[in-house]
Amino acid sequence: MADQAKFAELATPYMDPLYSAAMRMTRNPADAEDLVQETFLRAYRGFGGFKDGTNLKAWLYRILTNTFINIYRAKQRRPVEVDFDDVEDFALYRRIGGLEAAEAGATPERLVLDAMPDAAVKEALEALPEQFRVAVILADVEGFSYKEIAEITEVPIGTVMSRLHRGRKQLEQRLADFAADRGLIPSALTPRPIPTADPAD
Amino acid sequence: MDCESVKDELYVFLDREHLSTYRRWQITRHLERCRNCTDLKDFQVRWRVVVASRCQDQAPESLRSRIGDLLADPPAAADSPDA
Repeated sequence: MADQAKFAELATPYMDPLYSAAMRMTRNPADAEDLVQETFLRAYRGFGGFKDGTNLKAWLYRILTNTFINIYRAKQRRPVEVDFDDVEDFALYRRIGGLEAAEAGATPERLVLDAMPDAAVKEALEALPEQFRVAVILADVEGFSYKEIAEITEVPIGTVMSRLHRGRKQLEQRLADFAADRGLIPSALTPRPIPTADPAD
Repeated sequence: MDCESVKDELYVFLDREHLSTYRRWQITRHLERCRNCTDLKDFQVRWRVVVASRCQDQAPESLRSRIGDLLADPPAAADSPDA
């Protein structure tokens, strides 16, 4: 049984990452603050049941995710949250492929990726359908394993893998569209083919 | 092992999960020999770093002090958090 007095010391270092995840989930600072505060309150109250030595970070994210789904999601306006059914694989990679490196020593990939603003990546992530968005946040921003994400979101590992796969594809597609709109890559560029042949073995 | 299979399993390969040792070895061996798949893999590795690094926010001071106050003097558990 964990000691409630130690809660602040143990949980406070997770405030920034929890707030980042809350921002992507709720998509606005006021709701994100409320969500994190509520998460800390619930975690504090439940901390007696937290087993020392188990994964505190995963436990906090589970509370955050549940609180988001049960309270905030219900009252949120749902802005454009289009599920692209027909998304190409590795869209950004393919679209960049036709570019010539503008400077010696800089690959086109690096030029486009380095020029990708924080706001564009955040916005693209926030536009993903909720289940895909939560999976991508937990895996690619927070670094949780499939098993941890399965426990946090209370779905089977196969579902986690499928949500991640679709979420990542859609995210790359959205950023490819963004980069084309911004002129970072020419929109009319012929996408580079993804290897399908079998050159090696 | 062909390019199509590597492409299909690339996310899982990069996640370092869910693949048998043998399957990982097959993919690694293919990547050693296939320039196209290696380019794609390298791009995906860099892309992940970009996504993770672009999506970090700092908790605002107002939130820090709200949580500090909360933990210094937590409301009684009888108060419904949903109220």
